[in-house]
Amino acid sequence: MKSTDKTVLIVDDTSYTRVVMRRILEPEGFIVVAEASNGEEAIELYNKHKPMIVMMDIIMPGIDGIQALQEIRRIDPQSNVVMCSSLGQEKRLTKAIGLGARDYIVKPLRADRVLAAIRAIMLLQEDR
Amino acid sequence: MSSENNKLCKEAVAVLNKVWKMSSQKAAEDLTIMSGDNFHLSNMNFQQVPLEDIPDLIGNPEQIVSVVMLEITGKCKGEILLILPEKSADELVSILFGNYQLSAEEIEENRQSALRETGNILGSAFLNSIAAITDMEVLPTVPVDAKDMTAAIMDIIQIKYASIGDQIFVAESALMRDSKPMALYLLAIFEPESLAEIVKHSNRSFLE
Repeated sequence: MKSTDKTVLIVDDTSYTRVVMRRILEPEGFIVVAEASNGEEAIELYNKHKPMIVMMDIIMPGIDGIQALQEIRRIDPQSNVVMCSSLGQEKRLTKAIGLGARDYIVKPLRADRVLAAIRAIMLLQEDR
Repeated sequence: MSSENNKLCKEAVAVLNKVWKMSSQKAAEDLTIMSGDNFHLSNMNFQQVPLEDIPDLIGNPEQIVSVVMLEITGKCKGEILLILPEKSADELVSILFGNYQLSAEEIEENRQSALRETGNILGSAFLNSIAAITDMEVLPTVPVDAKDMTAAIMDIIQIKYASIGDQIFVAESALMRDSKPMALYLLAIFEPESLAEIVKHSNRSFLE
């Protein structure tokens, strides 16, 4: 994976959140390769596009973010997944970090926090 | 209603009012971050209202409202509903999308989603405050949204919570932006055992 790769997969069951995320990322030069509204779609689209970063909501109907994270990490142990959740989901976030999520963001989405999380991951990629 | 039940409900109202006071600032801050616009929430006073009286309290039974429902699981069971009359919903959607330069079509496609996220923010802040003061596990599920007549929404609630009876707590508030109010209503429905547990586990000093 190149450190100049700025591709992102956005996973959230709320289309408004996906709009907000896209509006944060695209002006900074990130390429949103796809959007998913549930964990099953996330896994399928990850396999198809192999994005540099996955921005993954935790609570979704059907296969949730934790299950999708597990599967994506199984498919690609080098994958970079950032979990996004509402306040009050500390237990789930701790579990996600234990399963290999690189970072987490607590909603509502703040542009500075989203970009800082992604840039930290890109720096780590360069160091590898 | 028995005097014991009466006492429980009075204590519950006190707890819910304090919970709202705790959570409303956080909720308004989160909405401000989400939208890029400066919001605050007006004070909210809960009252206990029979289910059949709620449509008239909100406006009229045939009024179209947007509703976001968060079911509560964990040690505490029930549901939180955020109800926005149509005029408030339209105004709020216009503000939420104001900074994003979307087409009218994109806004319409994402309208209910934006309202659902607003309900998620307000409802989650409220439930997190309940969890904080009681130390109980209070887990909201994926929010569900709907747009229908008030009476139709209340019919669904009546069927789902037939055993609750009169233990429905309703509060009227307003989302304020530039002193312009958008009316909203918060309904808090708890299963009787959960309500008793919330009152029992609330920090006594918190109530004083």
